[in-house]
Amino acid sequence: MDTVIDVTDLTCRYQQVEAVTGISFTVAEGTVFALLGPNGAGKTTTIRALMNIIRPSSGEARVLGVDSRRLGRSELEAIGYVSENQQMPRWMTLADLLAYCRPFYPTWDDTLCRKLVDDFRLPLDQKIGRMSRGMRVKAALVSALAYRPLLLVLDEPFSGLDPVVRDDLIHGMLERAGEERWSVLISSHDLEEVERLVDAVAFLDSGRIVLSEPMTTLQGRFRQVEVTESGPGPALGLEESWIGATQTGRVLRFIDTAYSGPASDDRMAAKFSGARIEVQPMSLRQIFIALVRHRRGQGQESVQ
Amino acid sequence: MSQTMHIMRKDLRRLRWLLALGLAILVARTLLVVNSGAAVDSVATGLLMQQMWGTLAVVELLLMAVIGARLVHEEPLVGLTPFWLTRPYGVGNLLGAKLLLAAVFLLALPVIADLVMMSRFDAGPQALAGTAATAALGYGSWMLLLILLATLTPSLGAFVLTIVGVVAAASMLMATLLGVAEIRSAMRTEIPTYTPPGAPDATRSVVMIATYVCATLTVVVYQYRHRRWRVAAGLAVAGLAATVLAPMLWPWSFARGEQIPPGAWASTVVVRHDPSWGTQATDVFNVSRRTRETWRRLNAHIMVTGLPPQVTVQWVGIRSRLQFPDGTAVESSQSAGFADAFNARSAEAALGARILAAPEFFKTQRERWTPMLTITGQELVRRRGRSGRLEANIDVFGTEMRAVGTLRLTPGVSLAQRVAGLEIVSVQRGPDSRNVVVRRWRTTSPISLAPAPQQYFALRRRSSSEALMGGVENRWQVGGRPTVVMALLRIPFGFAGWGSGGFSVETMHLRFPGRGYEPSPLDPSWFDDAELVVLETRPAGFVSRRLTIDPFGVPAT
Repeated sequence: MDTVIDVTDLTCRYQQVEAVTGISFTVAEGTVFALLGPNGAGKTTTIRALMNIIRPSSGEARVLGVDSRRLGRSELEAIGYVSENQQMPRWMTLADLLAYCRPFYPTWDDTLCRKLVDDFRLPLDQKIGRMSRGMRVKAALVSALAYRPLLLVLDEPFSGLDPVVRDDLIHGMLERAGEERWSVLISSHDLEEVERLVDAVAFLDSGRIVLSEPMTTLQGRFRQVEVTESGPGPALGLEESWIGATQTGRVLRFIDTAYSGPASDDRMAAKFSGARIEVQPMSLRQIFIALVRHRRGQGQESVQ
Repeated sequence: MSQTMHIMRKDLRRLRWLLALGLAILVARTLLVVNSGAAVDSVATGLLMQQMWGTLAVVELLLMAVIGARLVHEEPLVGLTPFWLTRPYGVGNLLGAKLLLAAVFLLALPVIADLVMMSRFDAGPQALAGTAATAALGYGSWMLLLILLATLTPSLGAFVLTIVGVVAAASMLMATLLGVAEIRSAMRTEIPTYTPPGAPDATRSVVMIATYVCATLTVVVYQYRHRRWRVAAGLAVAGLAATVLAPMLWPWSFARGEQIPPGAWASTVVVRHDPSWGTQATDVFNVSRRTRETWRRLNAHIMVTGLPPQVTVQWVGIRSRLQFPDGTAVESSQSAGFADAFNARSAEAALGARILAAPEFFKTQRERWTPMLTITGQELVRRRGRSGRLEANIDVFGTEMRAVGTLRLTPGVSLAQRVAGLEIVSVQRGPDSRNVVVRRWRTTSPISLAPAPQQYFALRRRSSSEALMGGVENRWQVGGRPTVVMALLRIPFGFAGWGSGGFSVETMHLRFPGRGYEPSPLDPSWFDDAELVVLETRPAGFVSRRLTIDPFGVPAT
């Protein structure tokens, strides 16, 4: 299997509202794929459709080679799912939860389970309902990782957690996923944390995919550019791939979304002759913010 | 199967305190009935027991609702965030686990509790089977309704609100239907008619129950398979409509009983007209509001003779035609009460003894007018003072009183019937009376073809062929379903009978003779060889007779 998730023209509608409109993306086996987007972008809806929690209105999503509408017991035995909104059985202790989950999974690994509990420093005898939010997410993760899933689906797992817990989780989960070559689909706002680990991203906004590509190419083509003229302000007339331009006095700032190294440097030098041009690589967070602002300010076209 | 058991074990653990409470209530109500004999001599204790039974029955019902809801809501079927949705549950295993556990705690254990209660009263296999079936039907119907509502709600709060909504909606629907029926009745212009009753038929009840069970199971299975609560709720409403409509539209009968054969009296009964009373016009209570027209009845005095003494005529159905000399005629059909179902004559025949003391209404057989024709007020004005020839077909419905058992006046003596029984608990001697405490148990079924018989009690002295009728001083009941529970059960089903019945035990304090019966002075030794006789009245079938009254005069006023 080359891809663990293959989404084609997926649309999800609640009553009259389209939460997700015709999105397509693929998640390759053994990679970590991040689904990014502002609140209400459609990330959770997409993941729910993938997990057969809701039925897509049209289009298709295949998960582990099976139509998501037909996702059944055998597929769910190979999928770990953790969501910020998941209703855990609050009356169970962690030990109860793990003992209850264990018979559902033929591949359950007690050694790994104990190690995860130790790594996350979780108390086995504490009821889930009395755990802090961070501990509950960790407990959910243990119960989703202990059977070595082929695919891990995480819906905003870090939302609202303090930095220490977040760090614990990322080290305990995503790095382990990398070690074990698990495939991971994650939606998150914690872009800086995710950035270190993801192989590919898709940006969702207003239910549509803005871009979907590997991290390497994404970070390679986005640059923050600052142009400082020695005389009066630089002439406007920016290229189409330069977005988010702002000018303060003699300083012009914009983002080049199609940066290609020396060729782009030469083109900018020609455009702003005599000016000092600084070109900086961008973090995932900066790219995300720039894209969202651009779409909100300029309309909703795709930035490819 | 192992996953089913795994889920069941988890649910058992989760609900253990609720289930323990439910079991405690079952045990308490069983003990209450089994030990109800302890209160036979104390009216206050007996009434307290009755009150306790009522309270326990209501608590049990509410607890069943909470258990059903919590059981399903452990893995809710409504909402997008439950933990189990993304875990490898087998839908069949999950549904099986829920239904199995519900069947054990909401159906099997209450039925067993009913049977344990009955075992105290030496009930026969037929009574036990009847009770088990009746109880299973009642508890099963309630269980399915609870499970269905729980599958359509995400939480206990939503479940309670839904029940409140369903009860309110059902009440409004019932009120609306009754209102429509009332309006239709008020708007009708034709005079109501009488149709002879057919043989008792349980087909409708069976169809209704089968439709209900199929409909609720369909909704539950659908919701477990697809988790689309809007569709499932639509199916539930359609199922409710089908449960109401299917029996009405059912084309053929498969559970019709036999007409009660009238027996030998069918050949000897004679219907005569007594011309000495003349004719009389009376108002019919119904008034058509649309036409603002009253309906009037023309009555005559009809006598029925040739009946065996233990049979009385309780009511008659009459289809008649009055032909006037000018060739015009009026026709109608109507039914009316004829005489009291019981009287001293029939009781004496059943007892084979002369009754020395009985209530006043028992002693006298009231004679009544019988409605021979129903016409409009305008018709009466048009025909007043005229005479014609009235030809009528009269269906005479008999009620038979018979002795179903004789018991020595000794504590512990019992009488066993098919689905009922009676035992003498205590006998207290008075100078001119006997106080006898009896306990009577019975099982009633919602699809029974025969109505429960009325019972009367007499003390009979064989040596002198004399008897005293008894009066009930006090009575209380444990078992069955109290009024509140019956009301709750009836609201969702919308008709009486379903969920009713079951096993009940009634304790009665009888006094012989009953107070105010004005007995003849009795020698205290009269009671020494007296025995308790249980009398019952039962329908005795009907016969049809033709009667011609010529002339039949329409009253002038």
